[in-house]
Amino acid sequence: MPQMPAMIAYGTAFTVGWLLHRQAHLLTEWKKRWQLNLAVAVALTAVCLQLVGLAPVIEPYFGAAVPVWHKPVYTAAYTMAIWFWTFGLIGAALRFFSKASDLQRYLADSSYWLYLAHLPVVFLLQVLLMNVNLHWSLKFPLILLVTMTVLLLSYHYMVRSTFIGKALNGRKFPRRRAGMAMPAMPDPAPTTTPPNGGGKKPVAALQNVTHRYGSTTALNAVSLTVEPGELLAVLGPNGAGKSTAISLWLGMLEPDEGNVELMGKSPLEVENRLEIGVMMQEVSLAPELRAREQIELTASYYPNPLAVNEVISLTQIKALANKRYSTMSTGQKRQVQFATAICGRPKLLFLDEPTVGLDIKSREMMWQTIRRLLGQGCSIVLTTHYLEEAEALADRVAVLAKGQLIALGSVDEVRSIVTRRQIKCNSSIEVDQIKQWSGVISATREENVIRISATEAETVVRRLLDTDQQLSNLEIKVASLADAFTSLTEEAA
Amino acid sequence: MNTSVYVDSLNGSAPAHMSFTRLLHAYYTETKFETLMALRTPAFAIPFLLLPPLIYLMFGVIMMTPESLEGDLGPGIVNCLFSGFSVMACMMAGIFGGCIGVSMERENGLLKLKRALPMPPAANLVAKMAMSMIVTVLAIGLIVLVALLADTITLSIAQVMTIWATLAICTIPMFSIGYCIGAFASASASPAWGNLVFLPMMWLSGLFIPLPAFLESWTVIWPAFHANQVALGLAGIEEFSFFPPLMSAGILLGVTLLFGGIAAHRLARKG
Repeated sequence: MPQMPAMIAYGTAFTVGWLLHRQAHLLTEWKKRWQLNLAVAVALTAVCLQLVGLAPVIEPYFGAAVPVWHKPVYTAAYTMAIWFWTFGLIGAALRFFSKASDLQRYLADSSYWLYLAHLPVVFLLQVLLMNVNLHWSLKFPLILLVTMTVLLLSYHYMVRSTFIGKALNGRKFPRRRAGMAMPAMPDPAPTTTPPNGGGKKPVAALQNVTHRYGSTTALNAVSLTVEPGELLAVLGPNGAGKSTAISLWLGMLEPDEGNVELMGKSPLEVENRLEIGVMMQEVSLAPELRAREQIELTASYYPNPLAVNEVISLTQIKALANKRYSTMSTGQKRQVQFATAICGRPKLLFLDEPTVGLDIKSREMMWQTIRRLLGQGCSIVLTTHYLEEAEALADRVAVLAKGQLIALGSVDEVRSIVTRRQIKCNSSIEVDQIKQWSGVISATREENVIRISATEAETVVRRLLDTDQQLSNLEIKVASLADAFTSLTEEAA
Repeated sequence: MNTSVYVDSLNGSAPAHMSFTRLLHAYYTETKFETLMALRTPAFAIPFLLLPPLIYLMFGVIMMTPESLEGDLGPGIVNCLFSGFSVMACMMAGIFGGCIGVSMERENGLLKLKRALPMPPAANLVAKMAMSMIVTVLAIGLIVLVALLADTITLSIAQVMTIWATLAICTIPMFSIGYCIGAFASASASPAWGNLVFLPMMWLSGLFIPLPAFLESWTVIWPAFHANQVALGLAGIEEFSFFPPLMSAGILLGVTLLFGGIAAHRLARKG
């Protein structure tokens, strides 16, 4: 049977802790009054010491020799002292140790491990050093030193980047740069400006996000927002970081650095994902279920979904409704996936290459539905390889390459960021000479034909005509989005 | 076409919230379709529903001659076989129901998609477990039908119901073993791994064949043995109860937590 006073003390501490643990505003009070609290703690401790002496002798104290009031006063003073020490020390720690410091953060992260693992090490050392003839003033620091070394090393190499660290610190820290490697604190204030001037909060945001897979950096300090009611097209070659960005927004990954928001909240919590719809690439829905059943199943995850028949008519897949998924063509499967993506009335829809494998008619129908959703205020993030899809649908285009955001703007803006034109002509001018001209990005020759990529087409053409009177077959082309995209990607490479 | 279906929800700014009834509905729908999927997959439904009753019919009924009733085990052998084959049904539904679905969903990305969607986090697991239990109930139901029609067993209705219900619950530890396999193995390998666990466990748990003495003492390492012991113990069939049912139940709980925990860790959202 446990001792009643101890039980009461523990129970009180536990209950108070439980009641306080979400009252974050109390922390500021403690921070303000740390001196007062510590002073009271010291005073109460002094009272305790006064009552029992510096080195308390238990037996005579609890004998008859002391006045009756000693015991309750001591108990009260002792209990209060512990509370005030706690408040005072927390306040002082907040006052002096709450600045952003890699070292302090690292030690704070390691403290749980130190707390859990120190006992066996300390015991072992005590046993080992028991018969060694050393003064305590040497033994004590020695034990402290060895213990801390063992614990910090084991923390760094066995805990921080493993599942133990995940359990203790809430996340695995990737093992890189030796020592006190710590991700920078995320920028607290989103600095993005909405393009549609709405002043509304973005429905999804990446704020200075970095994500690594081992030593590969999939996203490097990318900031990107999705504004209410817009369609943001994310373009980029394979491995550009598109899927990583989407996975972060869907809460399937956690960023190594930076902040990810969905409707202003963390996407990791399932209740914060209730307003999104998802259509992924390379996912097969349950093969044994019919289209209608797929929609019914997905709709059950949402608080207020569309009726199954509404979804079927909205996406025009009536012909597929009772067909099993496993017997559908690739294009039909995409249509059903699209239907499941919109069935929960999402405010934000993630479409990962939605029209791959669709015939032109089905694609037009899907585009029509997407436009209708946009018209009704739904926001959409769309990744695509079909550049005409972005041109047809997107309000803004983000180009990712090698994990970096290399262009962001309207379709026209992204095109005009590289105001480059393709110039083609027959001429005898040396290519090396042309390359020296200002405004020329590249120049190549095939037999008699010169191809020039230029930012200032007019000046280059004027100079071409001046230099070569014989020049013929002059052609100037505005870069298509495909060209813009290709050259942006190459520049980042 | 009704184009305004969308608008009402988009104009409201209150954060979306799943009511308790919607949450229950999500679990129900997931379970319904999980079971429907299992029953629509002949490779799953036929062996796991029909094999145990058919084998029981073979060994527990047809081959049950008057001489075998006078063997070392006595006339109670018929009840022991009934319980043993019911455990087999529970093992099959549990282990394979656990491993096949999750390994396939891991492979074809469906698990990933469901986790990106606002599926209640435990819905997929609970639905699969419930599906396995439903398959167990159906398969044992067929065994009960065979036993009653052939009039072999000498158990009371209450005893049969106890075994039936107990083994339906004992599907859970079997399921957690299967789920753990499915969390690691690929879709094509997981049935094979399931068999690697299922077959030795079926033969070495002493469910329905006499084991050599040196193996008999080792039956205690197999969860199926304990499932059988819980069922027999609770049904009060003392001649075949070798182990306190409470302790067996404790061991099964431990098995569930161990394998379920490993699987949960393996399948934890990567981040």
